[in-house]
Amino acid sequence: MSAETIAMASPGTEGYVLGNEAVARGAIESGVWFVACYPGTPSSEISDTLCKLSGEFGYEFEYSANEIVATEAAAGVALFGGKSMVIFKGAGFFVASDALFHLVLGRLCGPMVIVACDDPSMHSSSDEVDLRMLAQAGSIITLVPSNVTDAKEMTIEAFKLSELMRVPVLIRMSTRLCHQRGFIKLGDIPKRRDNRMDWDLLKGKWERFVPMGGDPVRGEMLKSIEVIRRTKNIFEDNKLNKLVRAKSDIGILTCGVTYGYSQEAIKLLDIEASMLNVGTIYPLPEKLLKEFIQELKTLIVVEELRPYLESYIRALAKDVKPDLQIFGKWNGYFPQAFEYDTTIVMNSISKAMNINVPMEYKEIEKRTDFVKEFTFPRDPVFCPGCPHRATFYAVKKVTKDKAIITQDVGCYSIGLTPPFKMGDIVLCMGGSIGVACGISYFNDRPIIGFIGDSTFFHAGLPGLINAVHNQADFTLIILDNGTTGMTGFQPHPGNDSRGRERLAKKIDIENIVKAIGVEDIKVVDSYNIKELMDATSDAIAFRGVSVIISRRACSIISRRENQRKGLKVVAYQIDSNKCEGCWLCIEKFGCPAIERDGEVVKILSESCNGCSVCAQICPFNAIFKEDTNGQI
Amino acid sequence: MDKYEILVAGVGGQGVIFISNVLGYAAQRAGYKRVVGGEIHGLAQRGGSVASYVRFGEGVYGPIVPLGCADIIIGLEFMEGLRHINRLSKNGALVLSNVRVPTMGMMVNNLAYPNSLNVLSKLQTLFDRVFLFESRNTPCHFGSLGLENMILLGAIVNHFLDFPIGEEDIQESIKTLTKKNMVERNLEAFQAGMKLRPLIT
Repeated sequence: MSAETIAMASPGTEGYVLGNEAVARGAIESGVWFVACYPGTPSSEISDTLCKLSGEFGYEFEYSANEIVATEAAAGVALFGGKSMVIFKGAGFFVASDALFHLVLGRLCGPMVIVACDDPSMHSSSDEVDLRMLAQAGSIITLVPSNVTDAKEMTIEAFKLSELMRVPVLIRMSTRLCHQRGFIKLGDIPKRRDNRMDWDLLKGKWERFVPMGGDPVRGEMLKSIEVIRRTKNIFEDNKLNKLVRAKSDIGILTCGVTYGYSQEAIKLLDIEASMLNVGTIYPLPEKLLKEFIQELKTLIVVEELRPYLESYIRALAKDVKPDLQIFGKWNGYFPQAFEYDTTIVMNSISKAMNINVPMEYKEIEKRTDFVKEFTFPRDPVFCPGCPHRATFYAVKKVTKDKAIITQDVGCYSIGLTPPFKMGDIVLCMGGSIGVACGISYFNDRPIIGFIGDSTFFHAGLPGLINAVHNQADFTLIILDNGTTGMTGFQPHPGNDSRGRERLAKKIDIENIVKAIGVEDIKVVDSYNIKELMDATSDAIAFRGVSVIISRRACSIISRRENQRKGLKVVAYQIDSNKCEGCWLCIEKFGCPAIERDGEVVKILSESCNGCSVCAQICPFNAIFKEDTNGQI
Repeated sequence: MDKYEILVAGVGGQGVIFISNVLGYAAQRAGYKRVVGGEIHGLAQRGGSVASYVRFGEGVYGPIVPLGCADIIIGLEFMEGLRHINRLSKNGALVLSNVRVPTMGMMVNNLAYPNSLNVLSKLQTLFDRVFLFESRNTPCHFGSLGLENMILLGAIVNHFLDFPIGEEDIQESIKTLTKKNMVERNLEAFQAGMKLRPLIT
């Protein structure tokens, strides 16, 4: 439904959409030519929506192999006059930063908008790096929306600003905005055109972009400082910053989603305060901030992650308002880590102002604490029929927990949790390979790296080349389920489709590995335990880098395929006369389609996807296919 | 009612996000100017917990229901409903389904699923309004599997006179948001829910 809401062309209609979808709509209303991304939660719905609608609105869409090539492609388009957008999660920004930090020195002929999503509280990330600080470090013009309406409007503004300043503009989102819903008014969508680069139009505008070391790049550096100065002037008096003055000498300074929490908090606390929500986060509007604090005695700074605004305002206040009392993270009034909400903001403000909170939190805790006893954590699990489960099971059988396991970023990280608990290190995209390489120089235990197919294309290739070249000794298992599973089944270079049923050239993992010079390569079916175990033993015995490609389609995808084709999966069953209740299929294999049923187990036939692996591992041959009367 | 806050919780695949979208649209139809939703997904498809907020009315700005402020918690799965109980206001309604999905940790370690009657009787001494609906196995032409969200929604609309969104607004939202071939199924499940009586009140 959501992509349809975004596609509704009639201006003035309202749609109840995610913050991410609002950004997508903003890009379409801006007449974007080209969108590139590498998927990553919480950013995925921006790119997925834009992929779905790319045919309808006639722009080009690319799921790139990783974030830096996405950025380079988008830069290519904008440098030559096109309108481009590039989208990724916070960690993707790190990957793209080599391109981005240099791109600010160029002169784009068309606008380029970067959308990057921070993840306070790390719901689906493993860092709390604050992109505002990185944007400042790289002099990247940055806007931070605070709600769903903002998300769309700022996207449109970002395209305009980038066109004007001829440098890329960053929209910095965060999880609670990406996945916030609200009603937005849909605006006009420009007429569909054939977007081609036009050398006549570019005449006099386009210039070579070769910021090589020495004098040429020094000149560009000075120009880029001038761009930031001009942008700052524009930001001083700009509707993207929201100032609401109250009859009070208390002020609250906010950024992003903390604007909403702060509005709610002062209402609940029943206090009057002036509020300034800063949407133009780099460069900061110095004059506006000075004017804001001038009339205040007390300033409360409410921002998630690093004290970015707070540090700036403390420096400003030293000159223009030395007696201003400032409450924030510096003096411990606000938490340093994790996302905020109304409760946290209200508590922190009440501490700063020394007023009572109108809620009896002790009461609430007393009333509800006992429930913890009855609620167990519900971690994600491998789906029924997930090919990863079988691979982990087989490797654990062979290595008996004696191997060092380097893991990577993807669904297979679930292998870290019970019942497998496999993985000693997860560092970053592609890290399984580089880390294994380093360990192998000084270690005699078997080392096994796990990496998914999409992650292998994203960041695994240089690591593998490096490891083979330097004669490291470990086994890499490439879990090839044919998709970017964890983020919502986006295609990658190993697929013959590039999304929306457009054909693509399929890159063969086996050929790449061979070309890199790996001498021991095995391709196995992830549903064949014996094959997997044999391959693992052999690979461990091999001196040097060995690679096992464990291949089977993601079970969510194959289930959908079957439904589409009207094929019925034949589920497996338990022969309760043979089942001895050893619980191996539950306690060691952990398939959610298998449950305890008194003294024996039962298979939930609506969940089972017929992968057969439980039947292969059952020590009592008690598992059989429903329609084969006990014969497998 | 000037402000109303809903928390929906469940496990991946139960339609937590869908029911929240239905409620968001319906709230606007019912005349509320400000409607804000919030959700955390990511690994919902892999059996993880899902929770979603729908807030509407005066003074609603952020996407998260503050502690002790929910007017209603809708637990499509029993334990997931309990998980967020510290967000329920003292006189808010706790509406739980009898659907029970054990976690992988419970299965691996052979821990029993909490006895719902014990938990509920304790909760009833602490909250004024605690309800259990048998949303699984509700008589419904299409079978109730995967439709518990609609069944529970029907039960809530029928049972709670102070629920600020009416039957018609919800049905219209269901029609707007559902794929064509699913509209009938969803509406029938919603209607079946409207006939449902709570097991415990």
